[in-house]
Amino acid sequence: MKPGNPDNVIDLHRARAGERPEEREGRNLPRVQSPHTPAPPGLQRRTRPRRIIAVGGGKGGIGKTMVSANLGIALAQAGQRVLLVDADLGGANLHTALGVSPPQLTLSDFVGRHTDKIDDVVVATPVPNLRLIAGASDVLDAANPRYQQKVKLLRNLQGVDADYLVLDLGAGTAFNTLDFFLIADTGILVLLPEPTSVENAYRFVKAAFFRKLQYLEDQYGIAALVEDMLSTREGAVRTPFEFVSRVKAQDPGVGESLERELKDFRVHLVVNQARTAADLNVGQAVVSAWKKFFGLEMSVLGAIKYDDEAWKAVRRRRPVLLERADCDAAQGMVKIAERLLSLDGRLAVPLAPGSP
Amino acid sequence: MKPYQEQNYYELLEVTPSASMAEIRAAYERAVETYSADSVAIYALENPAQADELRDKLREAMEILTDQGLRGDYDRMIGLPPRAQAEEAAAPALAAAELMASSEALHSTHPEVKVAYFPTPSPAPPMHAPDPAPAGETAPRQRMSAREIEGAPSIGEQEAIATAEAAMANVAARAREVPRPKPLEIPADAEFSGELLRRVRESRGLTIQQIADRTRISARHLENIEADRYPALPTQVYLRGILMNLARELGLDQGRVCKSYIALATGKKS
Repeated sequence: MKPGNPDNVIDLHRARAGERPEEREGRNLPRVQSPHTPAPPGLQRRTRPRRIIAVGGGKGGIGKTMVSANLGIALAQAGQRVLLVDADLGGANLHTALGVSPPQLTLSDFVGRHTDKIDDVVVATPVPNLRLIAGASDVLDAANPRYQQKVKLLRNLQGVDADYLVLDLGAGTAFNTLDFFLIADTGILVLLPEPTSVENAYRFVKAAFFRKLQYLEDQYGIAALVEDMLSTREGAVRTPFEFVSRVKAQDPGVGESLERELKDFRVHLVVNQARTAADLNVGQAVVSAWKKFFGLEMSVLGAIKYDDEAWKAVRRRRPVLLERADCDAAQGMVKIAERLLSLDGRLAVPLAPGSP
Repeated sequence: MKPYQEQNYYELLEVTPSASMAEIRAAYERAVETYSADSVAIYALENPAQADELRDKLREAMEILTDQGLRGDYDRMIGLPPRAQAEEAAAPALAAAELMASSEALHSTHPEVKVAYFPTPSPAPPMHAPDPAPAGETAPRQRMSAREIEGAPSIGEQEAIATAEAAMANVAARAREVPRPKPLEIPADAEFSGELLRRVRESRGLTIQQIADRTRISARHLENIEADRYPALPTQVYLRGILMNLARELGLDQGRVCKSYIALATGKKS
């Protein structure tokens, strides 16, 4: 989740015993290689040519697709080769947000093995540098890919030729969604300044955190503790901090390694539909509260003001950045893209006139 | 990885150990908003009793840190070096002027902070809590902006003195629980690359955002400095001002940091 992570490697041959039967999905987890695994000198700090951004948020209707589409456009306009991927397997509509008619081939054709080449399902968009993999359509199965299909999809996405991959995730905290979030170099969490959205956002981050622990449990021999944490029994550990404390109590060495590992679990917030000055600060408040209560880092990428132009653009099936590049919402998106590029060391010149 | 129960007063308020009184009060006001019972940010986060406990701790932190004497004692007890008072008083006017001219300073939303800057008296004996404030303390107080005085919580000096003893005991108790920060060893011949500056910052427990908020240097510049992205940095005149401020914030030798970093940056460019 952090720049500098050399390669996210999926382990295909991971077999484990003693799984809960109801957790079939969790049997063989795609493993994200530890960024702290020692690498040969010189390789550890190399920058990767391609970066994956995942846009999630837990709650539906908070603007994940709007953020993905416009972020993709802003990055493409900055000269980056961008591939937008509609990873909302059960509720795809990224093509509509972009004003592209539903393509012949979609992600479901790849997942459903109608084609073996991911390039076959990539379509062009009216925006130079920006391509799209549209989401699954009407096939019932597509929303629930089997494990092998998902691994194939994740591996192929990681190999795609582009500067940026932007994954538009679905709502909820299903393993499919969390796995897309966790393979990303940058996980973006969209948040509305409303209790419902904040609640789901916290839940989403907690779920992603626990999912990451599942990836790590073999490596650190903490399977029993993870099991304990995921169970709903009274007295089970509930917060990341509590969890690390428990591991430390058992084995200080492992606890410290785990703590280092979890430092890389950093979520980037985007506050959407900010109506007041206080709304604009909600991101920072959430970062502060999350750190105080859970001991984990988040950071704020930016805030997008509530803007009728954004709503009108959706109605016209046009991305707001193409429809009204000068409006508040579009400018907010450009600033967020700018910040991402800057974090990745790719910002040559400011994108927006007058931006810091 | 530290939950609020283990944070020291500075960490609780998310300010640096060299924060001015005005900054501490502003941070407290922000925290009060963030952790108020109806704040959206803590909705569904933890149980209400914990939020109550946190609010109490925040108030305690503000009360101690906004009292010169108590703060000095607290600093000593958690093992902080005496604050670099002389440097603060003589904030490099040139660097500040340069920064004001640059765009991010113009975007600054709190121009009064510079006015309200509250230098502490030079090498002060830390134990002087119940004494009336020395002359060095009163002068800067008067320089605080009207807004800052109005906004300040109404803890009069009388009251502060009256509760000083109780608070002192409190400080002592708290200080025992607070882990001592580990200072980073910097070799005398170290080159101040972005990497080293980052390590110093992290060893001080500061985020880029905290430095940015405090110095008014944009987070983007700070990130670029730490990543040694020389082509992305502003011209040398501005860069120098930024480095001076950053070094001061990190408690480093300003001249040495500037010279070393700029040498690295220009060496790479040519």
